[in-house]
Amino acid sequence: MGPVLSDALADLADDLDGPGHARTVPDLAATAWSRGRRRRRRVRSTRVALAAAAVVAVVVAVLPGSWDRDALPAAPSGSVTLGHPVRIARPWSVSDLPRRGEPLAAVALSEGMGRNSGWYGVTQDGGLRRLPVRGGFMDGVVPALSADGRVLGYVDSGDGRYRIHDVVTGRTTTFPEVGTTAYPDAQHEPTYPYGVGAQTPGYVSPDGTRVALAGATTGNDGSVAILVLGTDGSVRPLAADSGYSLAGWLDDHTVLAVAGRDSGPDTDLTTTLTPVALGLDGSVRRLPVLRPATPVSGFAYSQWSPSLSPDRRSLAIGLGGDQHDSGPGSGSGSGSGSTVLVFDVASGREVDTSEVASPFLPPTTASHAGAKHLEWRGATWYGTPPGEVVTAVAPRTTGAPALVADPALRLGWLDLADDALAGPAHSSLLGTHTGWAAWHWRELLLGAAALMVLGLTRRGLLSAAARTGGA
Amino acid sequence: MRAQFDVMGGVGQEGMAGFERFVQSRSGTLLRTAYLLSGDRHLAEDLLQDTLAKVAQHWEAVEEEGNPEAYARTVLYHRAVDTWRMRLRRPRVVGEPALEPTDGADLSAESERRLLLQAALGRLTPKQRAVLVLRFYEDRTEAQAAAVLGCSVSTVKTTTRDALKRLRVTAPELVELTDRLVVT
Repeated sequence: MGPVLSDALADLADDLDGPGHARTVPDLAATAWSRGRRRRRRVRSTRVALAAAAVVAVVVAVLPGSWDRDALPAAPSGSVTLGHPVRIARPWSVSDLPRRGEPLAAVALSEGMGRNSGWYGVTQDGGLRRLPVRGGFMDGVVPALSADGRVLGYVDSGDGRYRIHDVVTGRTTTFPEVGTTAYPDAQHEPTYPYGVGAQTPGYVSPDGTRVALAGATTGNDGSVAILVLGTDGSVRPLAADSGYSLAGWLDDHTVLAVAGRDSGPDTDLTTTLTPVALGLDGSVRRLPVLRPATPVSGFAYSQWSPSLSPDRRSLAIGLGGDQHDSGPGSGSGSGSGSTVLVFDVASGREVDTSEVASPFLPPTTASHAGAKHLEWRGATWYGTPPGEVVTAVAPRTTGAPALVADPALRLGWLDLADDALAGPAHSSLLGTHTGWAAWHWRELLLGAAALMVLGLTRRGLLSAAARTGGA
Repeated sequence: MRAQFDVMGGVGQEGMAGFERFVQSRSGTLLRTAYLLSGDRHLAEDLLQDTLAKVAQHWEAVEEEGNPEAYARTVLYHRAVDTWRMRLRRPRVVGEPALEPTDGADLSAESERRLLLQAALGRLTPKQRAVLVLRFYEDRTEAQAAAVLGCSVSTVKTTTRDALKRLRVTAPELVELTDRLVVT
C-alpha cells in the first residue's frame, strides 16, 4: 500500500524541521504579547470613542434645539416667540407640513432632494416640511410667510388656486377666483378672473389677515396690478396701474407700491421712482419721490426691487451694474449690481448705501432675489460657490454665520420670517460647523455601529468556533 | 519589559507567563499547520505571529475558557483563508515553488513528490487548502472542520471534493495520494 495524502502532508510539514526556524520561542511570545496588548488597547479606545459618539448622537437627536443662543437684536414686530434654526440639514426622509403645528422660521426652495426637490417650510429647529406648492422658482409663485411664521400664502399644487394657511390653527382659506398664470396653466384659458404670474413674491400683512400680491385680471384688459386677499375669503383689487411694483405693507390697512418712470434717451432706464400708499379703502396717496444723494443713471426695478424694510420705514432699491434690462415691470432686475440705496419712506431722502452680493440678478439665480429679503434683516448671505446655493446667513454686524444650511440641499431660496433671525437660535452641539463630517455624522455613526456589530458578531462566531473546534 | 506589560496592559505577570508557556508548548505544532496553509516558511511565521498576537489580545478570556489551542487554531485558519492580509504585507504569489529542482541534483522520489505536492497545494484556493489540511493532516471530521472554518458540513464536503479534483488535474503524478480518498 503506497503513501496517502495525510502522510504526504506530514512529510511536507517536516520540511520545517530543517535549518531556518531561527526565531526563539521567548522572542515569539514577547512580540506577540506586545502586539496583542497594543491591539487590545486600540480596540478599547475605539469602542470608548464610539460609545461617546453614540451618546452624543442620542443627545443631539433626542434634544434638538435645546440650546438657545443669545438672541439677536429685538424683532421689529416686537414678537419674541419665533426663533430660527442654526443648522438646516438634509433629512433622511421627507415629511409633509402638518395641518397644525409650530410657526415656521423660513420658507426654502431645495433643488438637491431629487424627486422631492421643491418648496419646504423650515421649522425653528431646522426641520424641513414639504409644502403643497405648485412650481419652483422659475415657474411658480413664491410662497409668502408672515413675520411671525404663522401665516403661509401659496399656490396649491393640486388645483393651482391661491390659499392662505395658518400653520398653527390649521385653518386654510381657498381663493377659487385667484390662480396662477404661470406655466403650465398659461397654456390654457384660465377659468378664474385673477391670475398671479411666476416669480411673484407675496406679502403677508403685519396682523396676518391679508396677503398682497402682484396680479392681474385674466381677461384682455390686465388692469389690476395689486390684489389683496383676506383670510375671510375676500379678494380686493387695489390698483389699476400695471406700472406699480409692490413693495410690502405700510400698516395693516395700507400697502406700499412704487411707480417707476422712464426718462432720458435710454428708455430702459428707470430714473424716477415714486412710492405710493394704497389704502384698502381705495385711497391713493403719493409719497415723496425717492431722491438719491448723488445722481444715479438708473435703478434696478423689478418685483424684487424695491423692498420695504420690516419696520416699514425704509425702502431699499438696487443700482444695477448693467442697467440695460431694468425697465419697469421687466421682472428681472439687471446685471450684477451690488449697491443698494436705502431711502426714508416719509421724506424720500437717501439715508444709507450698502453693498450686498448681487441682490438683484436675473431670476435664473434664484438665491440673489432671496438675498434681498435677508439684507433687510440685517444679514447678508454667502454661498458655495457664491451666488448659486445659499449655505449660510450671517448678520452683518458680526459677520459670523447665524444659520448654516447643508450644501447638499442646494437651497436656491431661503426667506426667513421677519421675526425669526431676531428670535432665539435653536442650536445643536454641532453649532455652525460646516465640514463634511458635520453634515454626514449620522452616516458616520451608522457605519461605525455597523462595524461594531460586525466585529462583535465575528468575535462571537470565533469564540463559538473555538469552543466547538477544540472539542 | 515585563513590568511595562503590567502597567500598559493592565495584566499581571501571571497572564504573560501563562501565554509564554502556551507558546512554548504549542508554537511548533501551530507553525507546521501554518506552513501547510501558507506554503512558505516566512509566511508561516508571519501567520503564526499574527495568530498569537490575536490570542494575546484576548488571553484572559481564552485562558478562562480552558482551550487556548482551539481558539488559536480557529484564528490561524481564518487568517489563512483571509489571504489578502498576507498579500498586503508580502505581495508575492503564495506557495509557488519551482516545479523543477534548480541545482540539478538527482532527487529522490520522496523529495520530488514533496515538491510536486507543495506546488499543487499552491494552486488551490486558501479555503481548499485549509480544508485539506484539516481533514487529512489534522485528521478532523467534516463536522469539526466545518466548526473551525465557520461554515456548513456540506460546504466542507464540496470544498474537499473540489480540492481533490483540482489536485488530480494539476498534479496527475500524485494520483496515488488521492485515488483512494472518497468524499461522501
